Amino acid sequence: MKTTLALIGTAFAELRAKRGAFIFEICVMVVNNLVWLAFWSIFFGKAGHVGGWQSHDVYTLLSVVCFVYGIANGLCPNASRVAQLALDGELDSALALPADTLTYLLFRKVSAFSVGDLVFGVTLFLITGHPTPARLLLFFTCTALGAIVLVSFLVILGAASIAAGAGHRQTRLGFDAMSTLAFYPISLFGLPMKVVLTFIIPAMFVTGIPANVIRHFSSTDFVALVIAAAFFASVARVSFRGALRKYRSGSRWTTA
Amino acid sequence: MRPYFDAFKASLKSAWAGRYDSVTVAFFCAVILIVFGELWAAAMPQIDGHRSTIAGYSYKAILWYLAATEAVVFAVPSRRIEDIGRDISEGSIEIEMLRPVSVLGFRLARELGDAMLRMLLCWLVGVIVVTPFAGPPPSALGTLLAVPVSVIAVMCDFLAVYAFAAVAFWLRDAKATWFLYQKLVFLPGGMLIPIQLLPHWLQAVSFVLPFWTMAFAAGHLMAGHIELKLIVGQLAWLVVLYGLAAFAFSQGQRKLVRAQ
Repeated sequence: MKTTLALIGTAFAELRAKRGAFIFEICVMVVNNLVWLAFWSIFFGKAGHVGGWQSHDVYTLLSVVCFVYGIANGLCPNASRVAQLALDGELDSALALPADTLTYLLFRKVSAFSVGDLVFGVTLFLITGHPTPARLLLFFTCTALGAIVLVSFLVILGAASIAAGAGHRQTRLGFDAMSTLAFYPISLFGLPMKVVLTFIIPAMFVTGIPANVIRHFSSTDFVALVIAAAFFASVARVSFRGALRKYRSGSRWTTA
Repeated sequence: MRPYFDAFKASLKSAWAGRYDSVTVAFFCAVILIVFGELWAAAMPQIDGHRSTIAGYSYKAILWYLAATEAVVFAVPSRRIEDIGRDISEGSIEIEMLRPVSVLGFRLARELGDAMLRMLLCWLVGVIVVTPFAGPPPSALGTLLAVPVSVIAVMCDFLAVYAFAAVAFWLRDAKATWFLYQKLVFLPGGMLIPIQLLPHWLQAVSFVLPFWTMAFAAGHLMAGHIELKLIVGQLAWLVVLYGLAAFAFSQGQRKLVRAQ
């Protein structure tokens, strides 16, 4: 925990050094999210309610999506680059450090873009989510669990790419698929799509169930979310260790 | 014209050789269409076997609209502004300036070759996904007109992308601008939702800006709304955008020459 906090502190200090770019990138992400907010407002303005969802439900979903992606992409931007780091030989330097390799890789950088997501997500929830101390606690807990599932899913894809000796496209594909599907109310989808979103691309656990738990608390859903987060985190750690055993240095110098 | 045509042909060939990238893009296009198909089906529920319409768009029209807008927008790589910015800041453009052809023209020819295959695959996916949901397109003439309009839409998009990316001649880091540009195509461009569904003030703003030529024009025709003024407007914007991109690039190139 101490190592993780120290890494996050260093990463933020690095960002603060480029203050202008940091603020600009946060603003760009906020504008990006405002476009989604406008889209949903217009959509529900025309359609009324859709499959039991109203505009304020989608605002909750949007705040969850932004906060989950803010944590996962903002605090762990390397989660989607594990295979790329291996290909570029950047794992070598991390392996030599006296810290846990996965923890170091995940927390050594902060993405300013995604800090904008964090800011937007929490602000939107404070404005539209009827916040009370209990609901805020639920919001932070559920989004943290969703972020654990997302980061773990990306690490699993990266580890699988390293183990299979494949490129980094699988992780990119998984990330893009997740990003595409996480923005929509999952309960609107039919059964085949729901099965895909639970077992193949776990968007259900990343944003769908967290948003549902915050909208209408259900202990069953909450327990399922906790179990899913623990399961994905364990699989990610085990698969990363397995990938490291297969890793034979991607350094350009040694592969020349 | 020969070097540009050869560049177009070479890039089309190389896009075919690396067609799995285009297949991946088409796969995402399919996912988005399925998601939107379900979303609009929920928004326009069937009552006595009939679905309601929204702002003159039936369920069928809106799905074919989205098939067209997605195919056109997916044909242009979303992060191209970032790539061009990197080429400018890292000096690749300076090497291209040594060739006896226009940097912008040569690049556009290459981009179009690459984009045509992606657009074709996305169109194919659109037809496969939308037909079972909504049946054939609402108008044969609209479909016919949507084909050349889609090609012009991709050209307009690339020209605007190059005009935007030219900022990198003056600013070192133009990375973030692609994100803003993409959102301008999403909403005022009519990619996610037809412009007629936007609030009146935003409709007015959208039709003043050039982004409607990049998504809305093809979608509107595909949805069965035959308006020839759209094609005339699109061609006019094509000329304006070419002028803007060419001006920005020539000024940027001059700046590089002066800096030598």
